[in-house]
Amino acid sequence: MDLNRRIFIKGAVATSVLSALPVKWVFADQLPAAVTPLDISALTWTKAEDLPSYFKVLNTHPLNAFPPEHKLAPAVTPADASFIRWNGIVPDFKVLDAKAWTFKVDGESVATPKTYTIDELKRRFKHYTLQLLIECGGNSRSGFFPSTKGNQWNNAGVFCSEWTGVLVSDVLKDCGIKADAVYTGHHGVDRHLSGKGEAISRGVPIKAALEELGLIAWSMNGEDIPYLHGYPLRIVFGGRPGSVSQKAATGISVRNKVHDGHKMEAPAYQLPKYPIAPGESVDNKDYRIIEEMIVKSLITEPQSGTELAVGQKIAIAGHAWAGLREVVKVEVSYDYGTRWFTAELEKPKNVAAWQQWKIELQLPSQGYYEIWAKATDSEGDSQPVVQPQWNPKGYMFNGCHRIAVRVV
Amino acid sequence: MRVLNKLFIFLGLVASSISLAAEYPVDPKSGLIMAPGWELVNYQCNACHTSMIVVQNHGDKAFWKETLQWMVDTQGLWDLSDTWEPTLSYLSTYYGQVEMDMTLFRRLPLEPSLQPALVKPFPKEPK
Repeated sequence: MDLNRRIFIKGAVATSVLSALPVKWVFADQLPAAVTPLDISALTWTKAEDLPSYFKVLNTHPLNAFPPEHKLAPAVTPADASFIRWNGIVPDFKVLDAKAWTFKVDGESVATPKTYTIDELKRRFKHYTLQLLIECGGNSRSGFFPSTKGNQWNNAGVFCSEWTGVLVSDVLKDCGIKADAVYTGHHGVDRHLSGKGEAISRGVPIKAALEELGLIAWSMNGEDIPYLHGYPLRIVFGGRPGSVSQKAATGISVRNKVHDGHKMEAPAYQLPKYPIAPGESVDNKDYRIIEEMIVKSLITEPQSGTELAVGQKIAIAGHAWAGLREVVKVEVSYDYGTRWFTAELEKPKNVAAWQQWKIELQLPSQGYYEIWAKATDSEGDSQPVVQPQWNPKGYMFNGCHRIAVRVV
Repeated sequence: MRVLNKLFIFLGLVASSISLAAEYPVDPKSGLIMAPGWELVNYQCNACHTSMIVVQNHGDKAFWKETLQWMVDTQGLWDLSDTWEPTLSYLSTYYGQVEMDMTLFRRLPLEPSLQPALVKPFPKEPK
């Protein structure tokens, strides 16, 4: 790996010292406080053993892992703090040839099917760089009771990195879209765990594909996309369930019906059409596709479990997002919602980017406190303080995030 | 500022089966509780995915039956034939539904008498 070049690009402090050190050292627990961790080796991680020890590995095969919540503090998430979620077999990236990689647009509702190399995409279409939030539909699943099936994500199944690529809409229009188009179907190289067929193939409504800032991206945070985040091309639709942002993407089918790829069928990535009681079951015909994620927030500073001295002010900060909507207010409470304090909130860099918020509070006395955060979106929707709508697959948990601190 | 021990994180749910499970060691490779039936689960559940997904889930026999039947029907798992019963028995005993932890929710669910009748209660016994 071209270690020196990457460190230079990152403009890290003390590059001459760092560049002489082994990559693994960068992630060691003894890292000096003044040194910012670099996400160098994150680019070529391919398996659970490659991940730093701060990752919680939910499964090694298929590979699923998330970082501690406080690692998500930066406004633009570095690769070494982004959750990892594969549905099937991780492709053999080390033998993958990006020069020969192609991206194919086909399907019933395409006028002229076309195949592009990455160079052709770069040459022929306008480039965009956007901060796009990718959140697992099952983020925070561990908060549901009764427990729901699947990987038990905590609240770190979300990240917002900077992606560079071309617009899905520009590429689709280059091929011509027929009037009967309904949905897209996204395709990648990863295989189902059985070795047969695609691991996952989901999509978005054609209106979203043609009107939103969805990308066919070749770069994440100014570098090649890390292997585990979808090298060499990733389809990225911010604010929608992460499963539509196809990793190692090979193409898009424009369908004349709702796409029927793997994991499009109920109940995968779907919710009951009507509210149900916790623990109730639902017929598959009574599910609907989750198209957009909903309002939510995360406290990334301070780290949960922090102690502070009596009289010391506490700086609290984090992110808030609302799928394709904008967050208009973030409130913080230290007394279980008795009183809420409004935080300073930044505007998003673009649609479907998360927004930063912060507030400084004085906790009234010594003792145990929980800090709760609650975001409200542009439609007036906010986060429940209790368990949100239970559903059999445990999607869309957006109950208030909380951390605990002690004043001593 | 100092950081307390990881008191608050990941201790959310207390397994009701803990007392049962405590009698048996945990297999370091699979993460499975080495109670009667564990080899069966180890062998069958690690064929496609790892058993790490098993140990983070909890449910009764119906829950596990539905999950495994889905794998048989759509994911290429073989029929468990005469291993169904010992497999479901092991999973529902050692990976059974957990108690609610009030540090997570702080509100008890409404009393059953105050809730409307469930339209379609989850089946208690496998079909």
